Amino acid sequence: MTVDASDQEAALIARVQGGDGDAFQLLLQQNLPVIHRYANRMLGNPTEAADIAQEVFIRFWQKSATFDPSRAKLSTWLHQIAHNLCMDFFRKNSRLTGLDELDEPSSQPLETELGQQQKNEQMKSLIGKLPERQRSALILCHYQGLSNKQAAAILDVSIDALESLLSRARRTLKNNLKEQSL
Amino acid sequence: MNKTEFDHLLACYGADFEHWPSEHRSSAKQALESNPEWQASLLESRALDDVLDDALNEYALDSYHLAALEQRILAETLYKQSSLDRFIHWLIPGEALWRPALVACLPIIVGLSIGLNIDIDEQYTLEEELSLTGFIAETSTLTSILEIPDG
Repeated sequence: MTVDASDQEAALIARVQGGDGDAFQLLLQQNLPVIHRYANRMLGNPTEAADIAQEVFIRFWQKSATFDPSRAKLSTWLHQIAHNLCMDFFRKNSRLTGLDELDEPSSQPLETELGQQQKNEQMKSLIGKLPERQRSALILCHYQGLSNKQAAAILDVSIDALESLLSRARRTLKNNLKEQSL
Repeated sequence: MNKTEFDHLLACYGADFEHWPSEHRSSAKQALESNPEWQASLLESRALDDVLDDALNEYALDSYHLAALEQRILAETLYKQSSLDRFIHWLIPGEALWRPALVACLPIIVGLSIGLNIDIDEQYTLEEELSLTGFIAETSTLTSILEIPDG
């Protein structure tokens, strides 16, 4: 985000803190697709993801006064709320762990030409089997395009701990891919 | 950057330098150009990145469902606010401390404006004057009748 964009966002946040509905709507339009995508990637369920995204923005509206734009980016704060809500969701529905709810794809050797769709389903299933924090670290850094500092802040860990989560996640996926000869 | 650092960052962030911490990108790119061993490591790691890139990339909502979700959120936030909520939100927005201060000063401002508008040199009407004179005369007569002489 450039300095101008950052200033513009800070000005919009200040307006939301003053109860300005138009500013809230603008920030909602800018951030909703990203936050929904994060929740959807975590849960693998667009309906549940929509509920999480809705709750994120209700909390943003209600608690905007507690947010300090000089200390964090809005996208970091919104991802942090979404991450915590996803973790709550997993705790309440301990049987579900997100993407692994998808049907288990059959494992096939590389010689068989796998369709792209099937490959994707296999990978989704493998990502869904990762421990939740490893999955979140991978999604935040690889898919959501956040910096390591932002991801560490969202997960409330140090950069070293984030890197440990990331390398373990990637190693597990790599090993599972080798096993499945994807 | 040495090979151990490069391998560590590759294991964490993958083969796409865009995902790497910004402070390491240029040094990694420079070192990579002259080092075939590093290039081989990068290529090996890229295989995982390619599969990852394809796997969770279609997770966006279409515009119809996105607009519906946006309306749902607005209904739960902006349109749901009562007048009291709006007032409280206006009153305590976080940074604008002048608002609660203004509300606290409001009784003083109202009191002053009422006080300044009262005419303290108000004149009695003729009827009020006569009535008051009559009342005073009556009470002084009663006092003199009931008065007990000294000694």
